[in-house]
Amino acid sequence: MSDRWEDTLPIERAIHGDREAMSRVWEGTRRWVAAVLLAHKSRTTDLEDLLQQVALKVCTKIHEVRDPSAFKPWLRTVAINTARADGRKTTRRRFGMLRLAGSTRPEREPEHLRGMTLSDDAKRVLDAAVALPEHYREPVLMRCLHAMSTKQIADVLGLPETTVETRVARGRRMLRETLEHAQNTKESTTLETKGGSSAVIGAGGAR
Amino acid sequence: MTHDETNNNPDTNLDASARDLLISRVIDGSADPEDWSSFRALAAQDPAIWSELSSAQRDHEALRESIHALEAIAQRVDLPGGSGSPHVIERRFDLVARWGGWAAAAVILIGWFTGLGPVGGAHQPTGNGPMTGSMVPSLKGATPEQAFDQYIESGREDGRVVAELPDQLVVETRPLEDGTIEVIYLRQIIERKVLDKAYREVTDEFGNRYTIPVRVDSVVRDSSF
Repeated sequence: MSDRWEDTLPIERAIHGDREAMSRVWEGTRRWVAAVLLAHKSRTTDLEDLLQQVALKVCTKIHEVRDPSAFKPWLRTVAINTARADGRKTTRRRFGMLRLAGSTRPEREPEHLRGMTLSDDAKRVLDAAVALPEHYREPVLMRCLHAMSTKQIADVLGLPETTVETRVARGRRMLRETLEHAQNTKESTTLETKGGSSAVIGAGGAR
Repeated sequence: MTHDETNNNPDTNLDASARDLLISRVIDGSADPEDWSSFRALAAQDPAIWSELSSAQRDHEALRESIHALEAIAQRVDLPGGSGSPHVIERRFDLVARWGGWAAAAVILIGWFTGLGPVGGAHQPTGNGPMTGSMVPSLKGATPEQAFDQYIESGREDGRVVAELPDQLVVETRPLEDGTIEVIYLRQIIERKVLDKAYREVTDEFGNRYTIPVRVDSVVRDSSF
């Protein structure tokens, strides 16, 4: 990984319109921004599209940040709002659609990281991780980012380090329990369909 | 929320929290000698903690695989480049967004350059009149247009195809090197199907998805697609 976690990003220069500083700030933050987007986006939305939207907002709105210390919380809010706004659009598009689930052509689940080749285990755990309660999702995902420390996560989330550590620990336990529960109930949730075709009404939430 | 959650745990959860923290620190490689002593003491009383540690480690490794993929995606996305003011960059991106994706996919008629039209309309790939069953070419050797028309026609005959909507949704456009334009678009076919049973898909609090049978009332949609 070429990106590094920097505690001394040239945020002030970026706020004043220095393009090179803006690029450095983006390179130092885009990976945790991606984790925030992943924690809040709908399953069907493309992560790269959302990241591009956030990158554009960094370019066009960073001058609105008054205090460099407020930049990371501001950027996180921008990412969350971008993911949620896109999720609302997706929901509107899907509302009222009937989905046919035929016996001959099982529908493919959309993937959180479209276009990336992941093992079945990775997909299964990622699905469970993004379904964690909101407070736990971001810290658990960020803790897996390359070399991102608890302190840096706390800095982004605006929380004490001890709180972040507790949330990561609890989130991991919830993840474990969810996966174990899913494994235990897998066989018992086989569904019966009578005849050839059945209809599934309502697309259902991604989470 | 800025309070310290470690100070708000009910007493009954202290053991569980300490256990979670120890496992988490071991996974992160941040356990100090004191943590390890506590872990060993706990394991002596309850060997099940080793199994929990093993599961947690496996989940962590699987999640790291996904997060590595996420980091690779993130590293592909740079700030929009080029010169000019941020407002100019924003305007350019608005234009791209307007034409480039589902979010802003415009419903436009593209029949004028594709030669395609609504089913039953003026478009006929061959000949001057509508094809009858005997005139429909076999699929082998048929052009995509002929095969598509055959699908529409035989679908209508057996009741499977209700109609093709006249509008086509543009998904993507891309100028090609030879000066032409590639257009990716969606053709909308209304089909009819008779089902044995209907189900609703629901998600429980653990994120598991399953279906339950439902009774279906008559629904007629009068809104446009």
